[in-house]
Amino acid sequence: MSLLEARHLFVEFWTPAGRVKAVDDVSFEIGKDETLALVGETGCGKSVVAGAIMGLFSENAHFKGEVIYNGKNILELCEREMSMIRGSEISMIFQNPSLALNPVYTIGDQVSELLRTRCGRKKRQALKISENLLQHMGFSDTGTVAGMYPFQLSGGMNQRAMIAASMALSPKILIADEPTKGLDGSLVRDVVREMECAREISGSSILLITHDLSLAREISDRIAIMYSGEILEIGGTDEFFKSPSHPYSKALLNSLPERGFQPIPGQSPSMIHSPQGCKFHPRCSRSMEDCSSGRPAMARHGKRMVRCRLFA
Amino acid sequence: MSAVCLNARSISKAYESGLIFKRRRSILEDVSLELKSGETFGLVGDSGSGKSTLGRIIAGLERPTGGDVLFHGKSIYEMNGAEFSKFRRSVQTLFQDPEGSLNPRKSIERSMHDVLRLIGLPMRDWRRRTSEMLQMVGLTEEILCRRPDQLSGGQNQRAALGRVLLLEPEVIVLDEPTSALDISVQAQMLHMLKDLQRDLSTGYLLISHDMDVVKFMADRAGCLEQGRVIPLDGKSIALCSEIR
Repeated sequence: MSLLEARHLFVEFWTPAGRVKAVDDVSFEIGKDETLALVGETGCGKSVVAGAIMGLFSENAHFKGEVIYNGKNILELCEREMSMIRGSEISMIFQNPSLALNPVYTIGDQVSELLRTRCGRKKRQALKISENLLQHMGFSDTGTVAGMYPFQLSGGMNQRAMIAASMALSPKILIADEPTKGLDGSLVRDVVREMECAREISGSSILLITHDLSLAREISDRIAIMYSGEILEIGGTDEFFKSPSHPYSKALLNSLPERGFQPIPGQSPSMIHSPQGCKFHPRCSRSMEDCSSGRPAMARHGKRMVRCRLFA
Repeated sequence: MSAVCLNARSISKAYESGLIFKRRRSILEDVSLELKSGETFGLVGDSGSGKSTLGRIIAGLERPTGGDVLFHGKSIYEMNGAEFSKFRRSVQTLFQDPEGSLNPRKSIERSMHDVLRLIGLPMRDWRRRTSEMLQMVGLTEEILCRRPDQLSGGQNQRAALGRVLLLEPEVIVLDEPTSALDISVQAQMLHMLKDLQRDLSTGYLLISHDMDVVKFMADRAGCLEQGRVIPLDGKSIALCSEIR
């Protein structure tokens, strides 16, 4: 049974240059205790999907579709109702921890904030719990760390502190938006370990947003490949890495180091003037005449769904 | 055998901090490295090991506490103004953050033209030279009127490389040139750097923490560890890459 379901989600940004179709008919579901990786190149709309689930839209955003959580379409909730869901039901780790954390508050204050504001805990009690959370995230001297400011910690430490803050109320869904971006290899492993630990402790489902295929392979159960605002393939992670179906998925895997860094020809398309038909067809090695005429629908291929004429 | 064009000898670098109680932190100690014409030397090492500092010293952007950098046998610290300026033109750097490498307030065209003005190319040739360079780095003239924030990371990194190539450098210090890029864009960029090296015989000092990238690009490699460059052979690189 799905815990959260996005149905035909569209998000557009109206800019002076034109309408940017950042999310174009995206549908997926996340099951209980499941990790779904949303993978794609920078600028393909992954973070906009995360923002839409959290109800975080900029002023020029226009959206339609549904995000069903607990039987309700959370896109229809008012700001007050939505703010009660954020943090306690659905929580998010942002991609730049040094910017996402408030520079003038200590780590302890920020990790314990939700415990004070939502659960009514006293400051000292909330700090004690947040020190426990920091300990679970691999910090040894938690008392000292809780009294430090974000600029006094490294990028990896800040990221772990942010995971601790987002897990404070044991949310049912954790959205991790590029949690390892800009971190060194060893720190990436630390963050992955802490995320898995957090998942085990609270039993949260994770929506992992990343462009790092190795990370997605390591921690996700299912994977969705996104390109220019739409999902092109979605299915089990192991099967995907064994035999990807969509030509874009294949090309993406071929650009991995172990396959000799084979580049995908051409550039990602503009989201204002998208190609007619399949958005990947100008770069596709298996493009046919039909590919430029109509947009292919999602079709079932074995246990996965693929948006390509080859499988229609 | 190619001649050595850049030679870093016994480089050391330490930073001091504190206003009253001075603390001295040593980053590099007695580091030596040489780069031959047209080759790629891969410099790997952990975060904070001093790779980028060594790259900046070799490019003449920073002065070491001790040691010397020789360009074609001559110390860059003994060069007169004209010689040093020629050296700076010959040894260029491509930084990790593509957006931060270009002036955010200038269009790509203006950033490119600044370089052409500096090298004294007549104005009538600017358009032709810029077009040639864009073609070389796989960009179209459409991007010329845009600012860095209006381009993708890969496009900005290509534009930054094009700007560097306008100076026709002998050596480019590539400081984590693809670590901020997506895997597919990284593959495009690495292939392009290899093609350009084949056509222009430019030497690369490739600084990276990614063993796969070093394995793919480098002719020789070394690991910066505790202030020393330990040579890595093909087997060591392959092994480190597998361990990673």
